[in-house]
Amino acid sequence: MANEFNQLARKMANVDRLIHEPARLMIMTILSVVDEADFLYLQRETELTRGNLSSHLAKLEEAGYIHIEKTYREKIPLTLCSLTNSGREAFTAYRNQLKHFVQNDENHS
Amino acid sequence: MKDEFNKTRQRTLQYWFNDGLTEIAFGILCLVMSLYFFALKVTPERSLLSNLLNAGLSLVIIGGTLLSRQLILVTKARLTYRRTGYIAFPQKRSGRWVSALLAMGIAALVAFLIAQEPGSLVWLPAITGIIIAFAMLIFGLRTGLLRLFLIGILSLLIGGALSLVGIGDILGLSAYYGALALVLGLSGACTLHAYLYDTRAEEPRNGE
Repeated sequence: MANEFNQLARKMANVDRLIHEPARLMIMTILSVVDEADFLYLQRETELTRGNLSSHLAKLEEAGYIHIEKTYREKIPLTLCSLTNSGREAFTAYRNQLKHFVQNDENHS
Repeated sequence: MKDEFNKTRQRTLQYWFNDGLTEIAFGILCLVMSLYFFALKVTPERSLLSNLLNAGLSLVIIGGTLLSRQLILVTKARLTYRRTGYIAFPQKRSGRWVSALLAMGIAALVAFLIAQEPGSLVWLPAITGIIIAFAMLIFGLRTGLLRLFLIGILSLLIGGALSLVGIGDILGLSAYYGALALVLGLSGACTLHAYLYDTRAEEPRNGE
């Protein structure tokens, strides 16, 4: 049983580190429950600085997990972020991986 | 982790209620309903206007709902987007149809009851109060906002009180919606005041 748990723990090393970083995890979690969110909303919810948030968004966009669009809503300029299909799949896979690990941890304790 | 995910989901759902604009818009809709039922009461029976009003209940509800939504979006663009940002929720097509059918069903039920014997109408405010309270309960559970539960309780009390004292039927509905409009207007105004006090408009910067 300990061997099974060790194998599971080692699998956790393969978790998606792009999503696993706390700030990016917050961003992905917020975007997973909405259709799209703008930069200001993400900044207020994550409490990151503008530069920090921009940096994390750029990494997620580079990985193809999010789509960033500068547009207008009711004549107000907005920078909108939304999850791509691959981003949504990656986030779901990440959540399932953690859920599986936590459930097995509870079984072993 | 599921709990953190649900908390994040709940916080995003609060977005529609954080600035009080949804309650103010719903309050305006209730005021329109109050005026509609009052007009229905004072208009001579079997007159052209009375017939038009009777036929127009669904239009008032659906049209009022659509206009309220547009009012919220336009006002949010002026006040909310620059203060706390913008989010859009996934629009489920089936959800829209369910909401529209539910609204039409309720309108049809009320119109049917209005066309029945006057004695059955005394419980209309209480029934309406229960329906609105149920809706507030659902919103309150989804968002975790206490004031929505309080509005639901007040809806029950107002509707029940009007029916119990005998101010039922159409005048009772007018009074119910008028009272609810006042409750929602006050709640929304206080929330908006607190929201404007706690936040400030951000100017967009290049590169964001």
